[in-house]
Amino acid sequence: MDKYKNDIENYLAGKLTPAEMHALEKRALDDTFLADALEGAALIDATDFSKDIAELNQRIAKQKSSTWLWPMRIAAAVALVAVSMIAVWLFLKQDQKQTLALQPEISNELPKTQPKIETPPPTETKQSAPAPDTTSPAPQPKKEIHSTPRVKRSKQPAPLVAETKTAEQLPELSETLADNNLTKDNVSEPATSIAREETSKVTSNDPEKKQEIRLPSANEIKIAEGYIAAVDARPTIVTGRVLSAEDGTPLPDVSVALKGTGVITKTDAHGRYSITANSREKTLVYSSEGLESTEVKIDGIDSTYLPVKIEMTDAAQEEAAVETSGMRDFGPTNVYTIPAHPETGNRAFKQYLEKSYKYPKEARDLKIEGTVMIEFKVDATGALSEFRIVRGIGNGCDEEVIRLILQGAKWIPTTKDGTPVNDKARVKFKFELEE
Amino acid sequence: MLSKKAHTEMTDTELIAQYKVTGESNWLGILYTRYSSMVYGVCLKYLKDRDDAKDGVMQLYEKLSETLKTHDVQHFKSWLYVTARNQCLMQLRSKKGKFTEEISSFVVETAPEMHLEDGAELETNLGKLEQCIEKLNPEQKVCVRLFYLEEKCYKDIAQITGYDLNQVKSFIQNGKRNLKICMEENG
Repeated sequence: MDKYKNDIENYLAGKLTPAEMHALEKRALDDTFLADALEGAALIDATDFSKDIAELNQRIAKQKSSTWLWPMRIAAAVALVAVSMIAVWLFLKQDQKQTLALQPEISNELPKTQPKIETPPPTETKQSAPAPDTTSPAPQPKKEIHSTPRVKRSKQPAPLVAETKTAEQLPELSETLADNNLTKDNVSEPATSIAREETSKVTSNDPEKKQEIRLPSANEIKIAEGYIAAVDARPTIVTGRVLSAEDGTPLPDVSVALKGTGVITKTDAHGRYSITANSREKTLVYSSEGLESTEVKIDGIDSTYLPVKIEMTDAAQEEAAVETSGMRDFGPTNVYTIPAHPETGNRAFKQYLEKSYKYPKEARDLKIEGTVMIEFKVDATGALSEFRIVRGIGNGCDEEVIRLILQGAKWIPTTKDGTPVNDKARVKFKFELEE
Repeated sequence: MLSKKAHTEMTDTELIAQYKVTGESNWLGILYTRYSSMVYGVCLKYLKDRDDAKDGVMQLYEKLSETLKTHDVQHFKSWLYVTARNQCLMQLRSKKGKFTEEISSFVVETAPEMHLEDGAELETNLGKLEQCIEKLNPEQKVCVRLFYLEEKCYKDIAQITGYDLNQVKSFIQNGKRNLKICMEENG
């Protein structure tokens, strides 16, 4: 419940990873409270903000309520027993990172609960049971859980996590899944199968829990499983930069793939990338179409920054007005893929585009500038079809790029292990008016 | 400290229930500390002064300890947000000397965040989503793609696109809204 508590501070202080920042920003889009808070917090210095929060939390902790009556104290004692039940249950969880300014005080005031926590005697359960108003409905089912033998420690956290967090995680996760389906078809595939295994283990262990994990719709089930898998697999995030070995310039649009999986990403305009590896001892494959790929092993590292230099014989990447790129469509298994590319090579193709393009008159008159991205099919024979404007600026510019592609060099189809296959490719072209 | 683990995992509703039963403000402290940075951020947004905002946070805490005793608050977070904002607006108004009465004597509890279904819907409508993304204007399209499909954070998107951070934020916000409209229209 407290897991988001320090997010704003950490966000402002730049302590979050890009992925964590993204997650917070995504939450803020759905949560006006958070959005407002971020907006307000950004008005002052990050260190001031942290200082103020620390001060406020201390003041909050110091403020004692004046209404501390005897009957209430008794009720509280009973309630504490109930709380200690939850404590025992939660003892099985291991992910506590945040600390609360309040915490030392509270634990001092509740020393009675400490001895009970280690071994919950059954009498305690009875005590709290007949006091219906002191036990909130939530702890009820939890009692059953911890009364079952605690032998399978390693198994327990999985259902707990699923139960307590699924609801909150749903929007984010499902979107992530959706995203994956869009761009990288294969990613969700292995994750789901791991998850299934995990779920079946869980259900066989603990019949009561099964009820809580079971979710009504197919979509939701998939999501819940995905989450368990994520917890279990402990994904490693590798971030890094790809630079040209020649001159050290950042290389954009280089594919970075996790070997043997469908996981693939591309470097951004600054050569940066970030990829999630679901298991250790994997190899990253860096490739850019038409070039030799470079492989780098990542061995048992947690979160790492991995700068790589690649020999780019065909580079000419800096400030490219024209870029071509094969579509990422790597198979789920260990397949060596060479994306579709123009016969003449990327550099020549780029030069051809720059030399041959005609700025459409209409666009020139209207002073239209911008980048056009065209996607098209390159079938196994190298024939081009199904042109689609991914990003268009209209006024004849989009058509002009398509014309250039059609009249340009022949394309070599994508090959997987040497066999040509149907694939898609994209060509990006930037229209810029002189002056 | 095992009790610590217990209260960090308790839901807001559970904490409120504990507070009501025991009258012990520690529960309230735990609850309020969860949101103190958000409340402080909201106060800063409206009051634009660190000391005023800090006072606002503490005032709201006092108000909270009274209100929660007597009122049944269903969706604590939404309620807290509305209450915090109203309190700030009230303070601003009283400062200006225009009105001293409350903006609204009652607080409307907004529904809890109801986007649990969003994901499922998105997943089934991927093709449509892709079409809708294409309909966005170029700036929104680029930013939405980077944000949702490539999961970049605002800072990275700003670097990649060259837009400033606030532009990126508004492109994504507006893009998201347009996407939603588009999805609903074609649904």
